[in-house]
Amino acid sequence: MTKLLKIMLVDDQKMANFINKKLIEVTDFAESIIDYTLPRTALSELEKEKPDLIFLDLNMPDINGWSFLDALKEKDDQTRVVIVTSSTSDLDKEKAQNYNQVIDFLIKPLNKNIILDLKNKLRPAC
Amino acid sequence: MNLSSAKYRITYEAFSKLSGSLSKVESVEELGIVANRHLKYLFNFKMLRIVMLFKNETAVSFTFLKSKEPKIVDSDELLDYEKQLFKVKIPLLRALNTTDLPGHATALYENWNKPKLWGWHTTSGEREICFSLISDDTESFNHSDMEILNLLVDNITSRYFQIYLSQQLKTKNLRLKEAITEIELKNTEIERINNNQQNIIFRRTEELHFKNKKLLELSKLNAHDLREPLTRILGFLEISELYTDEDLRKSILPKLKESALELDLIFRRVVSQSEQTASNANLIENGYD
Repeated sequence: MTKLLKIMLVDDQKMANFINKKLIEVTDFAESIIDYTLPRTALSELEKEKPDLIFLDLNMPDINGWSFLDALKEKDDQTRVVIVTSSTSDLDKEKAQNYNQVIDFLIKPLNKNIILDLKNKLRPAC
Repeated sequence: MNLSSAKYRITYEAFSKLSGSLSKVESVEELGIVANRHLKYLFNFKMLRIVMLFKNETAVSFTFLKSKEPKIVDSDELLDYEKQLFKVKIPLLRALNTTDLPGHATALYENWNKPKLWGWHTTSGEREICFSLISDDTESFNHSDMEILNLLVDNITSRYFQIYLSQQLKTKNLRLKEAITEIELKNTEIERINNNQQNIIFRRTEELHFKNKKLLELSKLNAHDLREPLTRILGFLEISELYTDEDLRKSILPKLKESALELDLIFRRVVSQSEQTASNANLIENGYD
């Protein structure tokens, strides 16, 4: 039996988290979901929460997605990250390849199929 | 020692002095003066005239008159008997006519006693030489003086051509120097143009960097800011089927409306920023033109 995941959503847009949370729930992708609109808070609660996967937005004020990834690197935190962005820029996609812990680069809007694909992709590893 | 061998020795000593002096002269004028000073020690004469042709053009004539300044004329007119000498190349010896004299010497004819005209033609490399001598009964020239006269003519003409060639070399060197100066000037000019080009390229590159940065900012704005509220609207539509009509109206529609309004706001901002970037770019281009 597949072990269910704990997913952390980090997006400054509350509504984006709302949508993604609903999609994760309806696809049975995770056992529990925690969502943050403040990346700083998410970072500080990482050790306590110990999520299996982070859905990370790129374009955020204060700490953007790249700084968030750099902070993870600094902490030597290996939590796997899926970038979820509304940017269609290839530059961002290329830049994401510099981070080993980024396992996927998804462009919004997400839908059930995208989440299910991701779920299948992760199954052998879980 | 007999008289003729004594005369021979004295003559050759005089000639060797002349030869030494000639080797030191540096101009055609000096050549004339030095030769004139020594001539009287070599043989008897009233007038000695040497004409040199170089590649069939009259180069120069030397006229030496006893106790007078030498006369050297560039591109001189040939006298009639000289023309004949250059043509037939046979030595001549006859009584002198007044018409045989160059204009400046005709007055002297009266002072001479039965003057005789001697004339010879010779060649040396590319130059043709005609030399003539006037003697009279008081200053008699004879065949035994020929050897020394030949040596003298050879000496004077050789030295003349050395001076002539060295002057030509000097002229050419001067022209070369002028050409070098000109080339240096042009080089400086080219360097200046190059520098100017580099400045222009540098300025244009800066300008392009600036425009690129602006375009990148604009593209980021388009790529993210504009799409963000749109992806929310699409996201809400995606999950709408999971809600009852009641829930949809209560919790999803207000969020959908909020996102749509936000999209409209950002869309307006992107348009105004694009216009601003375009007008800035125009300003820069016009400013440089």
